[in-house]
Amino acid sequence: MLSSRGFLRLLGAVSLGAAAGSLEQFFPPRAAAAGALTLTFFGQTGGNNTGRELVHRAIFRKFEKAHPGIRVVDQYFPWEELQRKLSVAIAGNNPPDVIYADAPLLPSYAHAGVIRPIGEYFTKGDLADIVPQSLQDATYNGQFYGPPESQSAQALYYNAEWFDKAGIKPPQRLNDAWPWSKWLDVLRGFTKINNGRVLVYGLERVQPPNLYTDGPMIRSSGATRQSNAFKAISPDGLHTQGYLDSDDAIGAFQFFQDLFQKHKVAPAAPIHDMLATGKAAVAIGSESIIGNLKRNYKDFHYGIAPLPFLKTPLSHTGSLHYTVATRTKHPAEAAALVKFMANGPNSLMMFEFLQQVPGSRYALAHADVYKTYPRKLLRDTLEQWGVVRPKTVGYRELDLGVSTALADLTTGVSDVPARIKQMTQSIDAQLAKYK
Amino acid sequence: MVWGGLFLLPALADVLVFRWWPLVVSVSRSVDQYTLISQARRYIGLANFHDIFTSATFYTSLKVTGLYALLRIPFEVALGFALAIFVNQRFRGMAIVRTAVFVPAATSLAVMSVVWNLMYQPQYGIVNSLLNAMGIPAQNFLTDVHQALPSIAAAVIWKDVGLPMIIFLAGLQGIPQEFYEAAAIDGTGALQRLWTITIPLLRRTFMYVVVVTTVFSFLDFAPVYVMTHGGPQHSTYTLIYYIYESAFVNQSVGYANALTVVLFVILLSLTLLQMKALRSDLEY
Repeated sequence: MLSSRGFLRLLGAVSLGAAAGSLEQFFPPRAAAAGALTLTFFGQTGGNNTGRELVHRAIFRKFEKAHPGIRVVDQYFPWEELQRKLSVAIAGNNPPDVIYADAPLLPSYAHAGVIRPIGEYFTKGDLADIVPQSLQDATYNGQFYGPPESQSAQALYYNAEWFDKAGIKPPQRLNDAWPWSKWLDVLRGFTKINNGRVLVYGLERVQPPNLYTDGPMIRSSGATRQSNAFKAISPDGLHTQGYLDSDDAIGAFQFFQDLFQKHKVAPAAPIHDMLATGKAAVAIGSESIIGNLKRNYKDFHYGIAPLPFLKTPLSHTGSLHYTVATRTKHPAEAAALVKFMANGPNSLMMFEFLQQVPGSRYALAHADVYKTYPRKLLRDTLEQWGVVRPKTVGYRELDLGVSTALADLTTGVSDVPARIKQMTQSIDAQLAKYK
Repeated sequence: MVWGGLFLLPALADVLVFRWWPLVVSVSRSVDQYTLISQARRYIGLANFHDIFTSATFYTSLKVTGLYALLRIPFEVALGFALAIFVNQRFRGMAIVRTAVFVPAATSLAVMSVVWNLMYQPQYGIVNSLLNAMGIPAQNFLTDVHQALPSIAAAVIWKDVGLPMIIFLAGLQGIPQEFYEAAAIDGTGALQRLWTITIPLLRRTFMYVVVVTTVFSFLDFAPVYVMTHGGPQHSTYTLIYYIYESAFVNQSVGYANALTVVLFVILLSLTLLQMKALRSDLEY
């Protein structure tokens, strides 16, 4: 029988152990070896990205083998926490040497001087391996800031069994893509309402509305790629008035609201895994949907169709980029690491885990899944429809403004044009600080 | 004396370093313009405060925060007091009831928010399932502009009511029984004893509970962040959430610091008013 003193000692030991364990993320397992040059990296893990850190670590071990005398010290966090960690580290003048930057945020980091251009470390051949959309994302004021970890393309995923039963055969090629008007009829056919309560929705909503997923619908309202609605923002990246509140764009916002309020084909509150659990007929999003279905719903039969559009088809692209912090003490070594992480073979290794279309042409050529339908559709979407998200140093502010307006529309706004005008005024007021 | 001071040092350090110093920094940086990722600060005088007091969003957030506080404070204080009177009785199993009411107060606000978010889900949440079972139509809760704020308040009251209950319970158990015995001899009823003895003698306890609940109401961030992100249509857009968005999303850190100063002044004024109104000179 343990005495009270013994119990207190045991409790103290257990508490210390727990505290030490919880501090592990701040004191990573592999401390820098004496005399070695150390490069630090903050990466992502958790949720559907659990395991991503294993790929990064494997890449780092290969790099260290090829570069004796350099050690990579890495830490991993869930996405939201990673963004906060990065913000705080940057604000505290102690960023990691390699900054894992979301593509649309790259201009803000570059503008603030947080990351440095590394074009001098890349040959023409290196840059030629990067797909055009990633190159566009990585370039700010004519300078190259970092290669992509991967890319992304959006498509429509549907319940193949339901569609077969209903005798509906969605298109499999971009040239045969259906516009939103046709998809709306299909979604309404699948939506089941009983006593005012929706039992099955046409369209899945997994996340709250956001610019990446829902922006293409709005931008596709432009008659051509040169129209203001398609561009969504001025060339200097500081004005949305005249672009996101053009007549075409307002019509698209109204259509978006009608999906939730008038036609009730999508729920206002997001629900997890609606497609795979029989609560929705289709889902729209990136290839991460495939990853989730493969991991968690192996028996679910799905099909892939081109993304719906209003007038001009497009898909948002972009993923994460490896960039080098301006404050790094070892720019050449950090650039070498970044280049190694994103090279062809390592991009292919990352693709094997992520199952997202690579940003490296080498990896794209060696990933056999993209040679035939259904995954070829995603490659075609990236190459033919892919456009980067609106480029601005104030992307966070832009995303917040649009996402908030879209969220309001899902719950029903009485005056859509007034709400959108308010949105663009508010966004432009925030972007004014970058003038 | 020296040893006493040394023992106080850790708590004092915590207050100075983690409470007062950030406030001092906030005030000093409320006159600057800068972003979180760029440390280049530019002095702009009182421009941030001017922007705040001419901003429709600020007044919206103030109104929402006020409404939330008006929903939360009376219900939580009254319910906490009622529960304290209930659990103060000597019945078998009352310790279990006391613990059951208090346990949610010991849980994480963020975890509670995630759970209640699922419970409030309009199509598949348990709350609507229960309502449907009673013949009541499904409600939109967090996606309805009129229901979202009361829904959040209800969840937070459920979680936190244990704390006022425990504080009131301690107060009730501190009231000498002689007062009640004397009142009973005089023939006063239960309600009269409550009104003339219990409540007056617990005035200081009421003051403490009201002040603490007011402060918590103004600082509740996790439920809004997890459940509604300030929506739908700004109906849950509290001042503290506005501060978060200004700093971490809109990258207007100086403006966020100015908002923090305004929040501090509002809270300080409110608590001073409450302490003056609920002050008690009764000694026993």
